[in-house]
Amino acid sequence: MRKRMMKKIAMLMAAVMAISSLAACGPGGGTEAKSGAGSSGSSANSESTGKSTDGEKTGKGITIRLLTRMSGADSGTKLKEGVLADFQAKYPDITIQDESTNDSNSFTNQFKTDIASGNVADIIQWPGISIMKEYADTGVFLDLSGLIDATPDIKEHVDATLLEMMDLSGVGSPGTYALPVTNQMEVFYYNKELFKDAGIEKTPETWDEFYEVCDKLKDSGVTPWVVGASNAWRVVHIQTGLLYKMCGVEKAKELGAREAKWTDADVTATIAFIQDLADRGIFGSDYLGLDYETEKAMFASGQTAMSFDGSWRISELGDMEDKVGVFRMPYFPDKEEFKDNDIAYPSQMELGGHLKDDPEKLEYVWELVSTFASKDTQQRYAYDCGNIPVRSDVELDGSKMSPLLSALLDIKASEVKVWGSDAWSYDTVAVLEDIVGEAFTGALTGMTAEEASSQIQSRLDAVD
Amino acid sequence: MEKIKRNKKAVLCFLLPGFILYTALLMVPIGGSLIMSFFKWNGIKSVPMVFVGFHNFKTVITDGVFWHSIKNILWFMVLTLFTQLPIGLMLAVMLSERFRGYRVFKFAYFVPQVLSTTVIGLLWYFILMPTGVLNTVLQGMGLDHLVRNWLVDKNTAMTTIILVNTWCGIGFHMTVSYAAISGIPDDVMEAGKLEGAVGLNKVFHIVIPMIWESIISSIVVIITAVLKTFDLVYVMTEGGPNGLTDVPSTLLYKEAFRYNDFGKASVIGVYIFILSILFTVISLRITKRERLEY
Repeated sequence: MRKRMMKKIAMLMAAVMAISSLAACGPGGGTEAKSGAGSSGSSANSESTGKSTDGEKTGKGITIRLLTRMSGADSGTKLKEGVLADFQAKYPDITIQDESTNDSNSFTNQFKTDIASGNVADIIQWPGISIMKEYADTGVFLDLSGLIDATPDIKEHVDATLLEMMDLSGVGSPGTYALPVTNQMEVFYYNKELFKDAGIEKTPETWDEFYEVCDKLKDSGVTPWVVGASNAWRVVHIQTGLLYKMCGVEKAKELGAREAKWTDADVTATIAFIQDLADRGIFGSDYLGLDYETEKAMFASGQTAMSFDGSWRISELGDMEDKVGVFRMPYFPDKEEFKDNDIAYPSQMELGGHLKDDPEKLEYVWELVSTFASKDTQQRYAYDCGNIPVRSDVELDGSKMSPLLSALLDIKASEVKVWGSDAWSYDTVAVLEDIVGEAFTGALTGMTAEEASSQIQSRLDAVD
Repeated sequence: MEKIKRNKKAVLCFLLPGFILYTALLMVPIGGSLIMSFFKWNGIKSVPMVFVGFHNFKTVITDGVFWHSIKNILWFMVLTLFTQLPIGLMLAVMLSERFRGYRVFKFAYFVPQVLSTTVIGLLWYFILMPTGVLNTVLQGMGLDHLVRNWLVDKNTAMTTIILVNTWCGIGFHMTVSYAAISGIPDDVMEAGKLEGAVGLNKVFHIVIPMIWESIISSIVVIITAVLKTFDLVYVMTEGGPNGLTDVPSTLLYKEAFRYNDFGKASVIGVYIFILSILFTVISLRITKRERLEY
């Protein structure tokens, strides 16, 4: 009797353990519990019709997942939370599941885990342009052309140049796969007091003038321009700026289209130029071990006089905006034709490709995404975050926005003629930013410029 | 109990849950990784995997970056074995004297073991950064010539990470050795003392032979732990600058999550698995000696 009982208990335990372990391994097992929705089969989430008894749309049973970089305590995140709260107030029956993270590695890991498991978020903020091709071709992202055409407020008022940037026809994937929601310029921020103390009366326009400024700053005991190079993207952005000033924005597009090579002499020269800046001691002696946060802290505390950064920085300079000025990356007099080529980084939102099978949910998701590009939100982006609006119809009151943004808008309106995004964003190889980042770090730690450019080209060839 | 032991079916039923869990959570992923290593896949579910045979194995084994990571991990293993284990043992021997207040030291040495590796990595990152505590202290002491970019300089970056890892793991090996030393019968120690085995003589002729089994366990633990080291390296340098501090596991991560090449990443995983078995067997062979009975 006891023996039989023991057998039964043992069998029962084995069955329970087996079922629980298999359940844990089942598709979406963990996610379902967390999200209550989650998977790409999101039509299953719309178990109800999404309409109330009187026929008004409520979105009941719908869960919208967001994976953006807007997370933390910054003004952009607060703005996003405000947009989500307004949407939630309008549609209380819709569940918003915000999985945003401001850490680029966490974001990438989450996104890549999602696409590997087929559980892509409904709204994604994937950076870059041409690198979207891979995700456009494989149905990870949705073609928004039809939605944009059907939304006059977006089609007529969002900057046509930015919308064209999101059109992947040029790389063989017809369609617009993202909606631009913010626009950033990259410029030098400088500490006016440190410049004055060093006897500098005018911001530099050419690189020779820039060197003179740096010499004066060094003489006054200040590190001219600290770069947090342990975050490779800091160097990548400088190289992009140099590429545009030395070779023009078109060169980046040629690199992306494989009509030019990273080993070309003019591209290699941009890497050598960064090495020269480092050798001149302009970055200081410790820059390779410093990260972006330290770089920002050193600028804020007056330990360095300049910082080359995007307009996203404006919101962080609120306490010292009267002490800070801006100027464009200097140009090369012998490359006068590229003087007006500058960097603009649009940040955009994509929609999950799975939404094409769930038109009802897509309607709500598009409404939410469009709100980020609406006139009101864009005005708040300018006032609260110092962002350049992506729309042409946003009226801005100079007294309500940062003087730094006013200065940037002046530069944008009067001086810049040709805009280019990140150099790597014109390439369809999604990992180019990492490849160039590693090579540039290598160039600053012992490799020659030629070796660094060869490393980039050989790795690109291997991926191709 | 004896009846159950004699009943093979009941024994199998008790073994089954563990076997199922082990299979589902360990053997299946290892098998999956092995299978995936023969395919090319970019990590997008809707994209089919393409069979490429041994191409990924060949690509990885002929890649200088991979061999650099192997060199790093071997240096990691050797230095860890020759620092973590002897220091842990030395501390255990000292603590086994049970001097006044020894518990405070025992606690202090063990604390790093309690902290998460990410916390430790960040802590040391801030200590070792160019403007960090270490360089500030060195400058304060007038040792400016020793100031450097510890995690960037090719002569110090890898070794620095290894020494941080040593700092983290000493507590564990100290505890293991301390427990083993506590198990040595008092009469053995007394007899040794009468024979003149004191100080280092006691350590080399009584303590180490008597706790040899525990030392072997520690060696195996160190080898396997080092081979799968990822978090500390990733938090402190991300394998950089330009792959200088890459180890196979950071390379695996980059191949999968940066370069979207899950086939190559799986091959690196397979190589780590093979290396783990290889080094464990070698270490067991080298350390094999007759078990002491007491």
